[in-house]
Amino acid sequence: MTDNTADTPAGPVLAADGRPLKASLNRALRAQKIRALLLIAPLLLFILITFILPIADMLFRSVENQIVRETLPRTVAAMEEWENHDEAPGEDVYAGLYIDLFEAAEFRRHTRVGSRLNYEMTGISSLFRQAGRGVGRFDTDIYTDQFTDLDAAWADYATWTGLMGDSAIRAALPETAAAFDTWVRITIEANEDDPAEENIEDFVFFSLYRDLAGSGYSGSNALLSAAADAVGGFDSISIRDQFEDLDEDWLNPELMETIWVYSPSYTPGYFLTAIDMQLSADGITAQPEDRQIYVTLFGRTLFMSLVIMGSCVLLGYPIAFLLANLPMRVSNILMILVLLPFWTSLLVRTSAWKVLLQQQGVINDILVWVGLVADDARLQLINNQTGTIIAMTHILLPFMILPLYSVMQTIPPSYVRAAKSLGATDWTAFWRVYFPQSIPGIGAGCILVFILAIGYYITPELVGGRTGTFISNRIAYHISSSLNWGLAAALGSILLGVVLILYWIYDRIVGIDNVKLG
Amino acid sequence: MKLKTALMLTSGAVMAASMAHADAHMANSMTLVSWGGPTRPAR
Amino acid sequence: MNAYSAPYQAMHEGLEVIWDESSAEAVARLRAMNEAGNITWDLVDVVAADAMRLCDEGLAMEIDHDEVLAPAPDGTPASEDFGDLIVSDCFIPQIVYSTTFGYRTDVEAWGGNTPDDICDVFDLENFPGQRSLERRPIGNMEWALMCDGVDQADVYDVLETEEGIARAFAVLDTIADSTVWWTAGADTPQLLADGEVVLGSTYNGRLFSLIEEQDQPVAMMWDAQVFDLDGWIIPEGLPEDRLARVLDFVRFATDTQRLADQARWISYGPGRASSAPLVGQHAELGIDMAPHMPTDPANAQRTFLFNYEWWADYRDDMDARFQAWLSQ
Repeated sequence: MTDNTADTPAGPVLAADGRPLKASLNRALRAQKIRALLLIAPLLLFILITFILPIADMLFRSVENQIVRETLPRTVAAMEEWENHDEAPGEDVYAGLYIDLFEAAEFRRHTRVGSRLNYEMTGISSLFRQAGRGVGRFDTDIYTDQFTDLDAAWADYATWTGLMGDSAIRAALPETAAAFDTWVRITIEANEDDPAEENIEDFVFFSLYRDLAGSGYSGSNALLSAAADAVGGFDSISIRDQFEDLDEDWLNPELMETIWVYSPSYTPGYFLTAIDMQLSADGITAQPEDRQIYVTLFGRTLFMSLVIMGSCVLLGYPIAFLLANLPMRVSNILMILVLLPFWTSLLVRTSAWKVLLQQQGVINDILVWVGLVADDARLQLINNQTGTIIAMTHILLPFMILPLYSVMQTIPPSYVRAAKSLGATDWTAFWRVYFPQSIPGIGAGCILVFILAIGYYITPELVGGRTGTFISNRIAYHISSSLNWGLAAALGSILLGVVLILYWIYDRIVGIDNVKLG
Repeated sequence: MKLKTALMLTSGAVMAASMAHADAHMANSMTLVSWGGPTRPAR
Repeated sequence: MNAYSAPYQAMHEGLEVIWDESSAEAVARLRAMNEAGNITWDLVDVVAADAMRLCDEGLAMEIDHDEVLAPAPDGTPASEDFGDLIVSDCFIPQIVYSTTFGYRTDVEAWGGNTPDDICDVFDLENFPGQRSLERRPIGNMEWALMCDGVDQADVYDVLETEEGIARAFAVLDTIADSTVWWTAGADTPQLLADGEVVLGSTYNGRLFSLIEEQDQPVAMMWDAQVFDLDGWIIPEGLPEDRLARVLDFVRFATDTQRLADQARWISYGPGRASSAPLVGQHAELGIDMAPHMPTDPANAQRTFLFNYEWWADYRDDMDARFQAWLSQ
């Protein structure tokens, strides 16, 4: 790099205070940056908390599925070994399910998994609810009795803490150790009792039996060795049969398959449902035809938003033109008329449309009175797409007029006059000179109206009827009624994606720099 | 600097006061959730 | 509402009662509050199905009804006084209401006939005109099957089969084009008053105010009314002091007299058996309320109660089908 010679001092240039100039400059710049950041910090925080985080949370929720794995960890682990998925799995899976459900029921979490899985397979909800009560009454007490008959010490909490404090024993009896820990946790956290004063639950002895009968015990603990020798002669029960007694649906391979398919922590399931597909045992398949709805709704939302946008342009353009070209006094009054609906509640405006449009409503009455329509063939103007389009066009019209108006105001009238003086007709002057200059306003109005329309919810809900509802109505339903928040998040994410794609296309065609709000 | 300190102090005081007020309010009120409108089961 | 909080506040000076009219989204809001760990509600009025879900999810507090609620004046413990209406360990029943039909009494095309059978709803030939039904499967599917010759007792068994669902939709298909689908309880009364529909389902209390208070030419058809329950739940996880206050209020608001008093304002049956004899006259109109109660023997000749368990399982599936069917 640099050659060190005797008379030029080595090292970087120094500032007045003796520090390297570069560092000192950096410091000054950093301070400036921090000050600038502090200045916008409130805004940044506000946007982060109210906008970015919720969107991130929504995206996360649309794939998140930890509930199955968290609530049924043993079941899911045991299912790794399940080979023939056409038949119900073996004893190990059900043994895991038994303890998982017991624990979940104590913490009252089993019904949450039940409702989660019920979205995928009807009937699971009540199976889980029923099992929450049922697993406590399984016949596993025979193990408790046999162990305590063998040696009364097994009923003592102290015996257990002694055994479970020994890491070699824990390693030799993995299921038992886990079950014992679970029991202690249930007693302390869910029941708020002291484990030393409670009877040890049957499932702990059940696990002990499984450990001892499965791999035996070769350690030096006398109590355990005696138990290991004795278990061969114990009476045993099949936990799988216990589940079958509870409800034979538990042995339905389809049910277990559903649990298995939805066991990963993250699932594409919600997104698939949102596009009328489903994740099932045979991979990804289409939903049955009588349950397909979301693709239709997305298509309808887009189509109707486009129609609403189009009718806003058609109606808004002349008004904006008048606003920009009439004398000040008249245009001010017109402006107030445009803004007036803005100050009225959305609900009131929508309800007013109901009164106007219904079959016994004002518009039909007038048409019948004039004689255009027969009394028994009144027009169906509401509770269908027409109703939604009319009401929403009215509600969103100001969002088209205002940008159009502010753009039109900047168009110098001299251009049109010049065109006319050069021999253009009124129409040519408008079409060739005025209109091209107003296009940025149309662009801005269109994008405003379209994006507002695509997410509209209250108006379609009230006047949409069967065929005039939007995808947002389904999102609202899943948020507030069915509580399928994952699906709602997936639908919302898709909607967000569609808007972003459309925005990109729009940018490509119109160019976002050509859009002006004034 | 003085103005800034004064502003900070006032906003801090306002915040503390409003929090205390909210607490007092909570301690003294009960929130009941009902159906809207004049008749109850209104969905 | 007038029946509970005003007298209670009169007894407890300085207590402020805030009403939040959010019962419609109570389940979702309570779940969100629970996730955020900040419960701001003290007592929530919900329908039975929602109470069961909240209880299942651990969002509502399980209570001992005999301990929390006041016994009847004659000493009958609360759990017996409420009887079967305690459909969940978390649920404190208040009222029995029903979803039933109202029809206009001035329809010329009906030639003097009035609908008195649930199947008249699906009979466009004898009872032409627009109908209004709720935009959800619950209730509608059952009615449709009952009018397709299915015995009331077998409705849910039939509805479990693909064929049964197809049958129900086939019946609904016959009136789909002349039906307005409502989402808010106020819709049908408004539509009936405007003459927009001639026949529509809604909550019986709404029809009562339409007929008696607003004096519209509308009458009730009680056949096959669907009972449902409405009551309180206490959110899980309230701090001690707030819980104590809420328990005190609930004990007061669900005692025999208070439940009878609420019937002076609207025709919903009180949840306690012991309240029934105390039901008097309307607070302002001075008419006897008893004949307007959904539980009155003359009105309750054919009734059914939702099978809550069944709908808890089938709601998601059935709703998907119903919405798909609707938007065809």
